[in-house]
Amino acid sequence: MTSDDGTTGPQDDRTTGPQDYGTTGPQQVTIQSTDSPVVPLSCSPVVPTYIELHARSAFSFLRGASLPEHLVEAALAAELPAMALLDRDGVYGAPRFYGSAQENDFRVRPRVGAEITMEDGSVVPLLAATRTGYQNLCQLITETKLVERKVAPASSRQPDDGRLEAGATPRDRKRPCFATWDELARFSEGLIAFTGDEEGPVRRAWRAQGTTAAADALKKLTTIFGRDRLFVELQRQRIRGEEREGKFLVDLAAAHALPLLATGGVNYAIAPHRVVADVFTCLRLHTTLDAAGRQLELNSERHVKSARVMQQLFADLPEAVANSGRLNERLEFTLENLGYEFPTYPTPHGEPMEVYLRERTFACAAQRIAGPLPEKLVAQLEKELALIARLKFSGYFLIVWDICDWARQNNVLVQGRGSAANSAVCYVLGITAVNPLKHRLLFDRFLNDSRVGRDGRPSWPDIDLDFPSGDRRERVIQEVYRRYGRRGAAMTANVITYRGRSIVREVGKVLGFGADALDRFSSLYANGDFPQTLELEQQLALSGIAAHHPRAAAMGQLHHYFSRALPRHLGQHSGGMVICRGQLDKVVPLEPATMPDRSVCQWDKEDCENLGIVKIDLLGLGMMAVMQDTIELCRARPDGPPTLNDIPEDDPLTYEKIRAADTVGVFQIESRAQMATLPRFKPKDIYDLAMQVAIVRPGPITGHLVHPLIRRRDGVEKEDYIDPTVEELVKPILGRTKGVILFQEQMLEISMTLASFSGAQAEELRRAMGFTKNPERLTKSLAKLALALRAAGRNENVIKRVCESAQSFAAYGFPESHAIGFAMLAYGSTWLKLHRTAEFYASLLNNQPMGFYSPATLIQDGRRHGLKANPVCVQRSQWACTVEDEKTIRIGLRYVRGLPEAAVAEMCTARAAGPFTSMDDFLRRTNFTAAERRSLAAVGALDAIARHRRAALWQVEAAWSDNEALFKQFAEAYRDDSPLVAMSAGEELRADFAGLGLTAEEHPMALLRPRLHGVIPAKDLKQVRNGQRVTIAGSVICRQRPGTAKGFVFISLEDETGIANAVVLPGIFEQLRLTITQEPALRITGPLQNVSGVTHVKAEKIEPLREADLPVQASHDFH
Amino acid sequence: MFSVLHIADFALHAVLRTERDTAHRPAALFAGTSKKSIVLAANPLARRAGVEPGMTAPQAVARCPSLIIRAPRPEAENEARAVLLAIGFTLSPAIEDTAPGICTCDLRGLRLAPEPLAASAVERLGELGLPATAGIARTPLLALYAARAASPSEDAFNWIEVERDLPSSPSRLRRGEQAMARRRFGEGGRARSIGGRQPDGARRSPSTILCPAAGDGGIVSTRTAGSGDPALQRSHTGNVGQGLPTPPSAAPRGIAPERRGREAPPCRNSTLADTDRTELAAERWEEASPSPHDTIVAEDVGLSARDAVLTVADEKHFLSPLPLAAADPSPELAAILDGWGLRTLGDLTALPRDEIVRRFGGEGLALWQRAAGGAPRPLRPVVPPQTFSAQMEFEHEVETLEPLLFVLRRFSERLALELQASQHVAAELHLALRLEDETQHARSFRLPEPTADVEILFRALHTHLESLTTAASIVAVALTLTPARPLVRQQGLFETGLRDPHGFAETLARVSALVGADHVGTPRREDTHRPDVVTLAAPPAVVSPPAAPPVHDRVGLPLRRFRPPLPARVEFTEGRATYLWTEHVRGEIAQQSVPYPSSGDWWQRDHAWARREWDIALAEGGLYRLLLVGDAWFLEGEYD
Repeated sequence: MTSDDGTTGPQDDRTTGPQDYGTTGPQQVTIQSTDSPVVPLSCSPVVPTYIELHARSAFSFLRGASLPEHLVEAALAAELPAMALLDRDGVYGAPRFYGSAQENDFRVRPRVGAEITMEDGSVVPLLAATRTGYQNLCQLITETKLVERKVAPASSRQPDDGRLEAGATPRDRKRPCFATWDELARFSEGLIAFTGDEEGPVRRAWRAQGTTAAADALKKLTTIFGRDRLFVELQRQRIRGEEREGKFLVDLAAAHALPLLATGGVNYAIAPHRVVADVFTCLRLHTTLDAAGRQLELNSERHVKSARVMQQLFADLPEAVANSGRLNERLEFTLENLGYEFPTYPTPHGEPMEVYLRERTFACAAQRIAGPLPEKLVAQLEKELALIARLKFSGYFLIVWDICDWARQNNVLVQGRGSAANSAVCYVLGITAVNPLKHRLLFDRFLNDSRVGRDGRPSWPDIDLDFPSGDRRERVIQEVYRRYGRRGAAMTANVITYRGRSIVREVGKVLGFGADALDRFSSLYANGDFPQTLELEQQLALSGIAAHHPRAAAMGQLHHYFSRALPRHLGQHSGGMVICRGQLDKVVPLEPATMPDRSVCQWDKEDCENLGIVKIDLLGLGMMAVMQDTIELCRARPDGPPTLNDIPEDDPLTYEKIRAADTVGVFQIESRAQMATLPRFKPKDIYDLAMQVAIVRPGPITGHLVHPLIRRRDGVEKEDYIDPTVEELVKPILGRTKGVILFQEQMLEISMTLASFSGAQAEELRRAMGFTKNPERLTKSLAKLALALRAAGRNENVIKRVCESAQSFAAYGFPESHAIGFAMLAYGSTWLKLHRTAEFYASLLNNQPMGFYSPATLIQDGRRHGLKANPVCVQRSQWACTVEDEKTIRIGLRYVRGLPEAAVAEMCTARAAGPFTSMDDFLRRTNFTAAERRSLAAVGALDAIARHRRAALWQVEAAWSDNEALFKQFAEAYRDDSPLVAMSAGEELRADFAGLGLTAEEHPMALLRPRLHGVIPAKDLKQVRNGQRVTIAGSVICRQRPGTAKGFVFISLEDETGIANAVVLPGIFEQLRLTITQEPALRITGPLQNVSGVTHVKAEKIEPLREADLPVQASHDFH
Repeated sequence: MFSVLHIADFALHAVLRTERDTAHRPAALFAGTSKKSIVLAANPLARRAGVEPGMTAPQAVARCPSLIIRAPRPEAENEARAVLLAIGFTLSPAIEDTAPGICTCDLRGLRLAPEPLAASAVERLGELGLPATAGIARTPLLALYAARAASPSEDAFNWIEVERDLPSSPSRLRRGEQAMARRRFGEGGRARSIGGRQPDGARRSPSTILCPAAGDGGIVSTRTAGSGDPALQRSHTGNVGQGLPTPPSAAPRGIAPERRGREAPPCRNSTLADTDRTELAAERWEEASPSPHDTIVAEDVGLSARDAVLTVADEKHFLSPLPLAAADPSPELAAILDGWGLRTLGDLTALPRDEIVRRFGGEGLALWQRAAGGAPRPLRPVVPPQTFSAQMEFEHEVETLEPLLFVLRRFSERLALELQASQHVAAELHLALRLEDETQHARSFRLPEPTADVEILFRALHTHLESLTTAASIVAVALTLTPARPLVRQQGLFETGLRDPHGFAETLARVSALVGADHVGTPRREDTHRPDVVTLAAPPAVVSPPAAPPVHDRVGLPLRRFRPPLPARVEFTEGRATYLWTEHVRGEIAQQSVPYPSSGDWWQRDHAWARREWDIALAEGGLYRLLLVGDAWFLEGEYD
């Protein structure tokens, strides 16, 4: 059984036999009910137009089984001139449906609508006929999703036939609408309704309660939509018994003088996708395929059908088919005329925005640039301002500037990233930190006349803003909501798709595989975005699902379908916000986000971008928070620096440390891969650092760019500019990177230079490279690029190398300006680490979790830099970690597990009146619960007022219990008569890790060292000659298996002297996979590779370090 | 005196005993319900490989690739519990079902020495797949501690052996020998004491007793049911509690030195609590002769016939080194005391009781008292069972006879024990098998002669099953015995006077095996779109009330199905079916309906189906359903 796309599956649609519908017979017949099984055959020689007006995509979440793109393909194959996508309770799939139609030159006109779940559980399909109708649809959905409502219990909405799921509980109320009939009436203008399928109010009532109830349900719809905007929907899925229901609907339509409308009730593009629909049904109903029984589909008929097939199916009711064409003609609206407008900026005196932007630009420039403005800068500003005015983007720049200005006034650090750093206007306005003139960055790469979007309008420039993560960024987001209103701004969505592990877990559950097998499968799966090294079959076999398993084939087939990025659910983008001049909820429906006080729109950022909706990324960067905190702590020092700008730009010591890869805790260049490259790349200035940041990325690594760039920098290898035939053209573009295509801008410029791409084409290529969810888009763009290169007469080597570069760039390529921005942060953070060590580490510890290393590792790294970390102490510690002197920090009480900030604040207030004189005094003046007192004692925070930790534990236990606080004023004095012995060093260490997750003392390995024979400490590895066999041991702090490394695994072990690295060959990893991934401490033996200051052990033997019984440390795995 | 029969890792062994060939393989019990499955218990082999409770499945498999992974099964635990209680009744009529895997027996009034009885009970439990230990002591709690201490699991207590001179001892075990013994057994998690007494005192041998690491003695630990040199009666202890932290090998930690040792009298002063009883016991054990080889075997996984029975003589010294967890503190209290550095019961009882009460109130007091050994208390007696039944759902469907017989053997053994304990015999056996296809196979056998003999009961089942073939694999089994008083039984009024009712029942069973169990019952439509799929089920015991009338009556022509469908040939003219041939029906096709395609079960190879059907009218009359499956045509039925 092989289906048309090469997979197996149900194939009732393709069995041979008599023609589906006879070709001879009377012209006009009526289908009789099942009671009379013989149906005379009919045929109409004229094929009328048919439009599929009721199709669901996978964006109906667990209902439709195909992507919108696949529906368009199927409509094209069926030669349908138009199709309407009616996803459930939203227009989630509409942009991709529209985009796909656009790519196909609108041979299929994309119509928009939605199925709306009503308060009684019935589902009304609605089509947007006009823009007003679309706006009403969006507002209806927004209203029902954003406004809290009481939902009738599921049981009352459950139809009697049990075919619908139990409905929403409060837990999942986020998804369905539960619109009231009043709301439907209020937002009905411009919308056209159908009576719906078996979930529609009419058929549902007919099935559950009979004809009278069905007529009543129809009346509700007629009252709202009248006779001209309501159609009685007919579907025929070739299921016995449907004729009877159909006959009732025909009679009902005749009785109420309503038009009939034939639809396919499409759930999937092609019949083989029915298996996905069955799996979705099971996932929706929380059951398995075996148990679902008749809740699954009977056949595979809910696919897209041609006009001819529909005409045959409704041969007795040709007007029902013809009505679809007539209705389609009434539909004016497509997403092309969405009506979105970016908000204008309200200038203070009503002056034009261009004028105000110009005024602000030069005013800010005077502040930013000391002394008179250089002519070059003025000229550049004039040029940019003119272009911005011409493209009517002045409002956009002002709004972004305003957000930055607000942030700065409210003490929130902000820095623009991305290609905006190419703009001098952005620089002087304080949006970005990079001076484009100094770094020779080209404004054209950010904004130019030819930069047009898919809709043909000038493409919005891309300005992403980085803020300190956490509360400070949230304040900015809330400010944007405040300014534009709850329904004028929203976060963009993030469509979470099915991927390797989630596919097997969920599909496996539905197929009935045991949880243990699925657990094993998950354990074997690579984490993160990196590709899996094992084949699916192999991995299934290792999990206990052999290839000959009776259901392995089904798993393979479903995996194939699901891995086409089928959407699973909607998440929230990390920082993308859309804002709108009018009401955003007229453009796209809004939903409540999981986070309080946030709303999210139904489209993701690519969808928004494609439809010309401008998005501002308000991103959170942990390092920004660290740097801002560090600067604030430095205010107590006479030598500052007072701001980030005051950090000296070319500090030799900083670069020296960077070259030595002494970069634990700093921005971007702290990862294992970066540290392994730094000693070889040897960055000397910011641009070098920018290249360093950009090159250790999956794209350049898979593109084999790292080694050529290093070798060419070292003069070991000759510079090479793609091909001698294009060297002249390429050299000016790639000169700074020695012929290596490293930055996005270079890629685009090459496409324009070598393939004569227009700005719009280059822009399209840029977007395709950034669009990770649908690899097909990149494939198409690359095909266009190859064609253009060929057309421009480039040879095959050029085509191959350029296309390979573009491929490896997809999703990972950095814009040059962005890389420079990041390099500045990397440099700045390294400088702070070296010169403001205590402040930097304290801030780093206060902003955890972030970065690559755990707090325990950071403290150990600090120790190696001469930093003393004093333990938590109720007499001295604050909530946050604090600086005691230039080389000493005090660990904050925030690290004591289970301690609430409010109680600590109370304690600090009490302490301000005077230090605690004794345990008695402490207990009386603070309000910690018994458990909190215990935690403090266990980690040694009470050592200042007790003999030792156990003495403190003994004493605090005798204090009143939580509900006896009244007694504390009258409690007797606590005698320090503890009979308990003090903790040993090992016990204290263990208590530190249990209660704090770190220790201020020595690394646990130090205690173990005397028992480790033949194990070389990490710091001594540099002295070992290359090739010598060594053994290293320690806590695993990092396990990485980048997809770029062909199955190689990198492990970092931490001991009391530093970090030792090991490389594991794929074969050894597969053998010892579970030991490597599960053990908290390892002992690794193998030859040491010590080249160019980079050392690592090539692991030959890997054993768990069980005797260590080390506290489990947080490990950074597989990212 | 009280005795406690204790099965360590009860839930794990309860599951393992239902399967064959699991005794010598590493196995672990995993939490079956939580999302992240973790190890709840591991057998000694698994522990030796590094599997610890609390590990996740991947971690455990990383350490022990051949690990048998099992989830708890309440049914198996019920069955094992019944076995334990049945054995408990062989010790005393007053027994208590204290906790899963713990049966407390009140031995007061027992005139015999309890150790041999307990040893016998432990041995029987071992034979029934439940490695057990027994403890004998003054209070139920102490007996429980002793039973746990006797457990030969891998988490060993660091006992040391102390030579103990007995009067008239003809020789002494040299310290070097003790050290050797310690090395030999201590490393494996056990240390054994060697010693024993002869009733006449003439053959007294040097003996050691086990005592805690503090250097004190106090326990008499006796190996039972061994054989060999009577002068070397072996005793051993193991860990106390499972998965508990290893107690200190030196002085208990966490107690100030000045407090330590104060309450630890020298080991030499400890004596057997009840010399007479011990001597009597020793006399009985003398019949058995332990050999050095025995200890090696016992070193292996699980328990053998040489299970330990531990009698507590000197309570204080016995209790002192037990880990704190033995007294079952609440998790919160356990965490606090662990933070204090307390590891053993002795550590706790070394602290002033009032200070503990001040800090932890009633809970602290109760714990302190438990740590001190508790007090005798009345048991909550278990009533001997009045019904005799056993059932079990198989974790994996059973397709062959062996596993089924294995389980039935276990059932028979336990039920026979229960019958014997309650002075009954079985008159009738009721066997029920539930099959994967949701059908059930049930049989009753009236025994020719009521009996409580395991072999006869089992043979009756075996005979029936040998000739049984089921349509689907077996997912569950239940066995019920109808008890009768032995010897005297009156025939039922309507019972036939069959000369050999047992033989008759067996014959019926064979007939049923020939016809097939799935050919008997009431058809019931399955929940699938696939037409004409029914299962035969036993008629329901209770007739459910009639359902509400449907909103839309099912009206339509009844279809008489041809079973199996009639193979057909169909002639086409211009793509349209025009003529039909079958064995019984043939003729020109006058009309045909639209096709009705259907398909399902696509997810499983060999089960997937796809079909199309048409309704056709023959020119000569008659309405039929035409069916196409693959390339084959069938006439599926005729409409009335």
